[in-house]
Order: sequence, then C-alpha cells, then structure tokens
Amino acid sequence: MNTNLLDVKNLCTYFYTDEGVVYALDGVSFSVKKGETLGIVGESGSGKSVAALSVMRLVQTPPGKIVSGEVLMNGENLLKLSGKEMRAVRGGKIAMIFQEPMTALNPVYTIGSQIMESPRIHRGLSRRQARRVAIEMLEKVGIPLPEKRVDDYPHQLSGGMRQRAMIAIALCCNPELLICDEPTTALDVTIQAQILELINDLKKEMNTSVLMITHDLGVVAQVSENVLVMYASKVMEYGGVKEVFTDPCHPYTKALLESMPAVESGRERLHVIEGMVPSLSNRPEGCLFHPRCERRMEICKTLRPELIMAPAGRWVRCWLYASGPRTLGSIERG
Amino acid sequence: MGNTEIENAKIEKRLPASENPVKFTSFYHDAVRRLRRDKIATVCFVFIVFMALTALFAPLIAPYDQSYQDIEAVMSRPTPKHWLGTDEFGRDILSRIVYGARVSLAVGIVAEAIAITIGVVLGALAGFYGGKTDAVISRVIEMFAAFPQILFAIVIMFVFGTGVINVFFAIGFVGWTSVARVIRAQVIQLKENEYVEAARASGGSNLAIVARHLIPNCLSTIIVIATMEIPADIMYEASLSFLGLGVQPPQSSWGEMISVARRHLRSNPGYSIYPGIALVLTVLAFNLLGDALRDALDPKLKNL
Repeated sequence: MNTNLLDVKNLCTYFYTDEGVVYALDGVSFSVKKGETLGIVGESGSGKSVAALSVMRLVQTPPGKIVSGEVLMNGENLLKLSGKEMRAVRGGKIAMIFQEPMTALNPVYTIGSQIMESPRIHRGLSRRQARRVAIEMLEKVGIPLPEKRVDDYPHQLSGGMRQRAMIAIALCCNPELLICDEPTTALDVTIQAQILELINDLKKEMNTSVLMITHDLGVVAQVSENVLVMYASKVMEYGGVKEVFTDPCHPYTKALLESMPAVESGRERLHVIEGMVPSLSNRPEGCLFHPRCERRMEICKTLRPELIMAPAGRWVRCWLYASGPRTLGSIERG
Repeated sequence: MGNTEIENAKIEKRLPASENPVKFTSFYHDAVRRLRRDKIATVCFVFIVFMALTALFAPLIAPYDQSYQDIEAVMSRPTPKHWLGTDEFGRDILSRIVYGARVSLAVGIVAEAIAITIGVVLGALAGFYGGKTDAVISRVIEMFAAFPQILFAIVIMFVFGTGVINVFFAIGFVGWTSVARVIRAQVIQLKENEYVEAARASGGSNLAIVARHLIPNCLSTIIVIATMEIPADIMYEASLSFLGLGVQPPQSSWGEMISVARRHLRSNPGYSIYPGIALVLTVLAFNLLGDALRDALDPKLKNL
C-alpha cells in the first residue's frame, strides 16, 4: 500500500527562450506522505519555485514546458488531467501560499470575499455559508475580531495579518497538500515564527501535507520532517531533516550549513561559497557543483554523478559516495 | 497566536465602537473624501447632477413643449414669456435647450458605455492573452484609430441614416479604441501581480481571472476615461447635428440649434449663444471633474 500523498517522479521542466533552453528542473523526484512536511531548500535560481509551480501545473507555457516526469497525487497523474480537472485540484486538493502577502491579495476585494471565492467554486456554498466559513477560517488563523475583519480590505491589515489571511484562503477548502513558496521571506522574524507555528498547528489539526519552499535553513529545520536540497535544477541531497542537518553528506549541503550565521560561534565573517550558481541554460560539464566545490576530484569535472543512496541512508548526488565511475550507460545524459 | 494581536483584540473590545480611534476606510472611500475637498470638482459634480435632473424631468421643467410654436412671438428677444427668446418658428429657446440636454447627456453616456464595453473587453483580452490575440486586436485598434474619428462617425451616419440611436452607435463605435489601448496596457501590467497567480492557484479559470480580478482593478482608470471622453462624445454629437447628420428637427439638440441659429446670428444672437453656453458648461464640467477624479483616484497621492 502506497501511503505517499504526493509522488513526483523524474520531473523535468524546461524553459525555451531565445537564448537557448533553460533547464529549470531536471529529473527531480521526491515524495510527501500524508501529514508530513517536506522542505525544499536551495539558493536563488536553483529551481525550487519551478518545482512548486510544476506540481500545480502553473508554469507559464510558453516559454516553460513540463517535458517529462510524473506528478502522482494519491496515485493519479496530475500531468494527465484536463485543464478543467486541474482547476478543480487547484484550490481544492492543493492550495498555495505565496511569498508576498502585500501583492498576493487583490486590493479591490475585502478579505472575506477573497476567502469566500474558493469554497464557492469548489464546494458550491452559498454566499451566506461561505461567509460563515470565512469568519471561521479567520478565527482559526488567529485574526482577532473575525466578524469585523472579514469586511476589511487588504491594505487595512499588517503584513503578518495578510499572510494569515492568505493561509485562511489556502486552507478554507481543506486541501490535502499545502504548497508554501517562501511564506515568511517578506515578514520580520517575530511574525515569521508566529506564521510558521500557525502553519505547523493547522497542519496537525487538519492533517495536511506541506511542501515548504524556502532558502532559510532555519525555517526548514523548524517545520519539516524531510528536506530536499536543490542546486541548479537538480536534487543534491534528500533525506530526514535531522540527519541531513547534523551530518550533511553532500559538500554543497555542508557549505550551505556553514554559511549560516551561528549565535555562539562568534565568527565575524560568514562562510561564503565561492562563485555563483551556474546559468541554467549553460550548465558546467560534469557535476553541476564542481566549480564551487571544495572537495572536487578529477571525475567531477567530466561526468555527472547520479542520485545514489549514500551509506548514511539518504540520497546524495556526489562522486564521493559512489564506488568508482560507472559505465557510460548508467550516466545521466547532460 | 501573536501576543500583540491578542492585546490589540483586548484593547479593541474594551473600547466602545464610537471611541475606536482608528477609522478604516476603503480605497474608493478615500477617493470620495479627496474629491469632496476639491471645490471645483464639487461644483462640477453638482452642475452635472443638475443637468442630469434637468434632462430627466425635461417635460416638467421646460415652460413649453420643444415643438410648441408661439406664432405671435417669432424670433423674439428674451421676454418674461420666453426667458431666452424664441426661434424662427416661435419655439421657446429655453425649452429647446432643456430638451436638448436629454440628447446631449444621453449621447454622452450611452455612446461612452458602448465605447467602454467594447474597449474594456477587447483591451482586456488583448492584454491578458497576448501573442496572436493581442496582435489581431491591436491591428484592429490601429485600423479604427487611423481614421479621423469625426470622419468615421460621419460615414457611419451616412450609411445607417440619421437619428439618435444611430448617433449612439456611430460615436460609441469610433470611441472604443482609446479605451482598449489603455486597458490593454493596464492589464499587461496587472496580470503580473501575484494575486493573479494566487487566483490561478486556487482554481480560477482565465475568464474568471479577467472578469473578477483584472477588470475590477482597472475600474478607476475606466471611471477617469469615461469622464474625459463623455464631453468629447457630447461635442461629436453637436458636430454631427451641426452638420445635419445627427438629431433631426423638430427634436432639439444643442448642436442642431447652433447649426440653425448661425443663419440668424445678426438678428437674434441669443439663439446660438444660449445653447452654446449650455454645451460649453456641460463639457467643461465633465472635463474638470475628470481631471479631479484622476487626481483623487491616483494611489500615489493617497496621503494628500
């Protein structure tokens, strides 16, 4: 019996631009169990937002295109659904929270009518029933005086309140999966902690799975069970949060963790990963990370490593854990 | 749950509603407040309302029917019986101006409603879908805009014949291009907003996104365009009627009156001056109100 709510298999999303093909997502696989949180971390431009948009099938086409792979939700391939069926999934089974609570709410409608929109589409509620749902949801996400706030416009709320309202919009149809695309980046640290706690509480209460996309390792450590480390369109390391963060296998994950400011270390300068994320349309030969890797070997410059099960019991894409170069047949196309 | 928010809730509960110091206002509420502070805009608005009421209740307000002929007072100067004098058939000029307001305002509003409907729909589709849809609609806009508008309206009137209804369509049909251009540009800008993506992520179809999210966000632009274009449409109607292609006698319209009166400019100058004043004041009021609305609805000036 497959208990995974979401299974993403070998997903490839490319953007066909005038400057050439941009490999935004290249052979990414992961799965999310019911009620579990998966964190996706990576630098800017590593493809984490495209991963979320691909699951929702919201990649702009053209120029983007999901070239291959499967997105299985409860065993059903979302990539095979018609546009109409997919719209029923969006907002119904899968909901999404965006980065900017300032711009993700429509300024001309009250908070209430924006929450009411999706229960009215997906659950066919009347205006009055939907309004009651909206007030309940606002109460659930901790907005005081929900009966009054329901008629407020977005600009009358603070950033944290708006993000709460966004969460209310996302959760009002009891989605099975909640995708959070950097939900706390635009908020200050105290509000950030409150919002994460809220997402965590609601996740437990409603038994929702969460896909948490962020570049903040602290956020991932706080909320998720598993973590997927992405770099330049590929998965670099994938495993349980505790294991990955206490004993990172991949040099990239190690470098990322070292770059985090630590309160107790007293270092004045932060660790920096030399170089930049490679352009996704003109990727380096061999391992994508080798130009910046501190432990690169000769083989890294020419051959792409595969995602393999490291001895530590998790998936890693690094030659350090491979027992010698494999035959060309098993090496991924570049 | 944030502590500060709990505190706020407690505070708000303690305060009776009337003492709540923060008064929340919506965007349009703010705009109306700013508009009311603008004296010129207020005067213009009152004048427009006055003209609208005049047009609406013309039979009650006008001292005579628009086609009633007072044979004893043909081409009379202003008298207590005929405040603004009479025309060459002995018809009361004041009454004809009052009835003429009906035509002018109706043309301004209906023609602009037609122009805005066509312009908003086509502009929004072009802006939202882009690509081929945009290319086709933009070329159509350019084709329409290539003709001088009045010439185009004259051609339409010529083909379909005179009469008020045809005036509506002729003016509405030439006026939509400017609306479409502005709305297209604004939709292109608006569709990049995250709430559009959020709407899509919560299962909204393209049509729902355009109708529910993009067009309502263009509303302030549409209001401003309407108030700026209505006077232009009133002028077009006057021009068409002046040229004899619009409203036909005995029905009165300001343009038609000015047209006929130019033959009597020497003997009875009031005959052309009074409808001219009505026309100028109405157009001016709409223009000034449009200017004030543009300022009031500009979010950048919000704190003024």
